Amino acid sequence: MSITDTATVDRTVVSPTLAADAAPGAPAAPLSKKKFGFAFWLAVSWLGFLVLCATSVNKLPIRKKDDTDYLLAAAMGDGSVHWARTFGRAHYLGVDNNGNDLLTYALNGARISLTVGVATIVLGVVGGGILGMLGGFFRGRLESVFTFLTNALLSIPPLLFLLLLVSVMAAQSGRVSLPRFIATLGALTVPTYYRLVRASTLQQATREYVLAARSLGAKRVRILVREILPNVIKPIMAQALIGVGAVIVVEGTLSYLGAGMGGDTISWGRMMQDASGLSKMQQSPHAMFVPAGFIFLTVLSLNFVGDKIRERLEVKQSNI
Amino acid sequence: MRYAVRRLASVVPLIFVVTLITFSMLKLLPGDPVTTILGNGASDPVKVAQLTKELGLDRPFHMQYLSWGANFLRGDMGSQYNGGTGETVRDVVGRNYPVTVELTIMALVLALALSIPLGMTSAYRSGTRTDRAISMGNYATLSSPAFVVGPLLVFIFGLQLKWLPVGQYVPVSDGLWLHLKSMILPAITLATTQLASFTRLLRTDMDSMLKEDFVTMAKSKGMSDRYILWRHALRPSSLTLITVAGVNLGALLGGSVVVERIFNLQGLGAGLLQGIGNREYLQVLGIVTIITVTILLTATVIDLLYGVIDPRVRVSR
Repeated sequence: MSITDTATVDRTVVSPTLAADAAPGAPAAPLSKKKFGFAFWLAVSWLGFLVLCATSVNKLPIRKKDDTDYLLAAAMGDGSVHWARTFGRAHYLGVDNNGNDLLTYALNGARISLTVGVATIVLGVVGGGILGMLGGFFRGRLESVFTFLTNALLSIPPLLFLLLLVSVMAAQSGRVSLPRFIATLGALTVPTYYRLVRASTLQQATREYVLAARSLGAKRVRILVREILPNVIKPIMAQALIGVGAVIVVEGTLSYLGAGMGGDTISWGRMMQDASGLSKMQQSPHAMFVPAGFIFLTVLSLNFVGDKIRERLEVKQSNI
Repeated sequence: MRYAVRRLASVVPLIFVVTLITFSMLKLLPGDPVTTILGNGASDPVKVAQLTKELGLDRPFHMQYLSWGANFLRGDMGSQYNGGTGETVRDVVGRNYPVTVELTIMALVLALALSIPLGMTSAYRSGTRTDRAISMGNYATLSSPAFVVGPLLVFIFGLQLKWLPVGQYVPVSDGLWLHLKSMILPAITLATTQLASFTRLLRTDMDSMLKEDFVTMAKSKGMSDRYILWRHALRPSSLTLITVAGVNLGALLGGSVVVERIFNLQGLGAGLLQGIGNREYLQVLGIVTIITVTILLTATVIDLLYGVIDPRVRVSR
């Protein structure tokens, strides 16, 4: 769609002038020294903590995944134990209706969410980055074809498209393997990064340093890899962190709709789905609060960290 | 005018590609409709061949696609294979479309109604504690997907406070007030997914507007801040807002699938999920096409309206 195209181009054109306008009012020097602040490091620590726990979930002193607490579940079922009383030394975040330890489940869900999120975005950034740089640098028919395909893919709401794709893949066995799931999601993030990278390659290709390299007789591949790539990649990296958060949300949504990886894969979206029936909500609402909290904190941290890094990069750019 | 025609024409190949992709993907779904319809009778090869021919499934792929396309243009989207109710896909789409449209519009209006004052306050009080609080609120809504917000709202307002009914959709025929009561939580849920992006956009846009010369001019003429904000600064910024609202329509319609599932609404999303579950290819295809056409046409119309509203765009064309 041309609308988004013009929107991105406009923004890239407008932002430098805005920064220049702002410069006389606010001195540039203190801006560049701006610290990330407490909240930033808090978000980083949550992400670090989550990664650490998710990778070592089987070694932590918490209940094992298959060690179901039937007694407690039954007691909660007949009303003799209130849900809030299932918290304790045995279960740090309580158990759900089926006697599953919620902390163990949430951390296993974190494994899936983080793996899917990071791997998908890596695929999308690499794929979209290569295509975007080629399209933005060489222009011509190549660019027209890529752009048309991108527009076609982006005009189907991604969620609907994924819903269809995953259902097709899961139709035979009722489940989708992790690599195939990631490949599908990754393929659908390619257009987004294609657009971003193409727009910034277009912009960078007109800069003086490219002209200088060209007049020094540098080959086109060299210009693309050694000159343009380093300038294009930085803003994309900050964007990628936010992208990881978005993919975690998409994975959760698909699982919630029953179109996730299926099988016995534990994921945050699946936990939400399992806990959000009306009667279950009344009996054990904490089974819903736990995955909700994990999703919220993780996506919030990713958004926050990504934004702060991007802000800092923008300040640096405007100082040049 | 010529631009308008060209712009509309550029939508056609996109629709073609989208339907072709969807069509081929549905063909890849295992379990064909013939077996589904016949059930136990599927062991009889004569019956299978007969029905396959009847449904036109024996023809080559491109012929199937073309005949579907031709029928679609005539307004015939085919019928359900094993619905039993004998409903055509057009009936299903016709029944479910208004629900989704209503939900989407309510969410959009709600999101705009909240984000315009929030974004303006944030830009006006840029750098203050209020601004920071709004920005934190943006992060919070940005990080709360619909499938988290929805169930939590149901829990708080439906089960704990018992203010609103949950788990059922009340049609308008049962009374307007009851209907609106059943739609308010879904609309809020869908609106939260868009709130942050609108507010942020408006804040950035207004922030740069307030630095423009015409604002300084208005101020020096002694106009009140309130008047300047609403009359001078909001008007140009509202254009950006309209564009983004149009672009985000896809996300809204996609999000309505989830929201319809959470709140049990019978909209297009619900029809789509049922279609996938029951292997009703034509229903899925019809709904995906309708949604895509809606998105593309809205985007085009907004793009064209842009020229009507904003004289600057007209000149540059």
